[in-house]
Amino acid sequence: MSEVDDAPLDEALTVAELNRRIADVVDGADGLESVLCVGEVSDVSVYDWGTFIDLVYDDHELTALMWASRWREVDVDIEPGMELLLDGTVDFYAERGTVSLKPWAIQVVGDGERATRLKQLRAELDARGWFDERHKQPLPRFPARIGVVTSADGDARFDIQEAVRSRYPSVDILLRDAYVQGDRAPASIASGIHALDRRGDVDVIVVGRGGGSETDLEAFDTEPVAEAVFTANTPVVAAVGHREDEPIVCDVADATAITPTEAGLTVVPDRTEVEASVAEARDRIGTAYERLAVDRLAELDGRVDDAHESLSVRRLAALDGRVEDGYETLEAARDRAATERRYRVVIAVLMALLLAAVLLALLLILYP
Amino acid sequence: MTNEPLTDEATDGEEADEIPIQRRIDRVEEIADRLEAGEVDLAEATELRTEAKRHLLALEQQLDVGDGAVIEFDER
Repeated sequence: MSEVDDAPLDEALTVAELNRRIADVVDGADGLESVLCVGEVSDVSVYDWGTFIDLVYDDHELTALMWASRWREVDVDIEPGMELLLDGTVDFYAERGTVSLKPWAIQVVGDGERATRLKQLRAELDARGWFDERHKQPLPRFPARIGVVTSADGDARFDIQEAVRSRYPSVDILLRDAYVQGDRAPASIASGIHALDRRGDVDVIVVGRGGGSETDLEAFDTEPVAEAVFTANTPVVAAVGHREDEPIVCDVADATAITPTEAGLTVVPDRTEVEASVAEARDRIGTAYERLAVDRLAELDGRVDDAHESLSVRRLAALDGRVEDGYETLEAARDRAATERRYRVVIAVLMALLLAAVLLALLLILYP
Repeated sequence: MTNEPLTDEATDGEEADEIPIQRRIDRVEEIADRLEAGEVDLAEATELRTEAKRHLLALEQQLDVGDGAVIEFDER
């Protein structure tokens, strides 16, 4: 049982009361009015009514809020990485319990230390060729196992999981829990990538987190993480939320996604589409085979017809020849018979004449 | 394009269902292209269709394996 449980309720302050008390303290505090503050811009969000400028210095953050009327008077484009000198008053917004600086004057001092360091690291990695397209590995179209390096408690993990499951439920997801912000994040993320890469049974690795401020995403701008991605034999997809300037890890990775959800959609195909393309291939094969078989049968049918016709013609020609031969044989036999008959008549006539001549000769002898 | 059939034994002892999905799909599409070109005799066409049917059946099985697992490993 804690002490809170024993405290009388009527002595407790509501959130509103406590916030008002804090606001009173801030309003009355010395040194919070008309202060000069130096910080590096990590993000700028412009709205109709005002502009939020997120500032960082070392590991500390503060948001400046400038009303629209005053923002319009700023004659330079404020961008992330700029170091600013702001002149303003610290304000506590009781309704939301947030502290901000309300500047009435902004002066650009130059590039911030963080921006300079980032620029140098980017230039160095670029010189090493780590951003070259020739080093990019293609993503497998049908991964069986996806490795994910992110916080096990973060939304990104569930966004990736949900996106993958919605498209290709059969894939395994191997999650390597990692710190994704803070001092331990670079080593933790790099170690996670190395661990998944070493396994050899992971087809693609997704590394990332949801959105956040410039400092939240700082780990993804570090050399250890860039090196882990560059040296991985497994293709790596970086998904580090939406930011004006892509973190260095996105330049080194084999593919990038704006959000963890998009990363999930990038690494797996849509199973419905795959099944449709398989069904289409099945139909194509069935149709093509049937057409091919019908064509072949038609071709065979034609050949049978041709052969039959050719055979018939040859048979008829042979019969015709035989009929001609028979006819000629018959004609010859008839001619021979006629000739023989003529010969017999002639012989008979000659024999008759001979007999008459003999008889005549005998008569002449007997009766001279 | 290769004319070699993609046999289940062509994977150095892997199980039949371990032939990658992409290879099976590529082979099935290749067979469809060849049959559509019509430049094979009926016997070869029948062999190709039989091979394609085998891949299609395997693909159905590979695509319908239920939900994969979510595995967490190594505490940070």
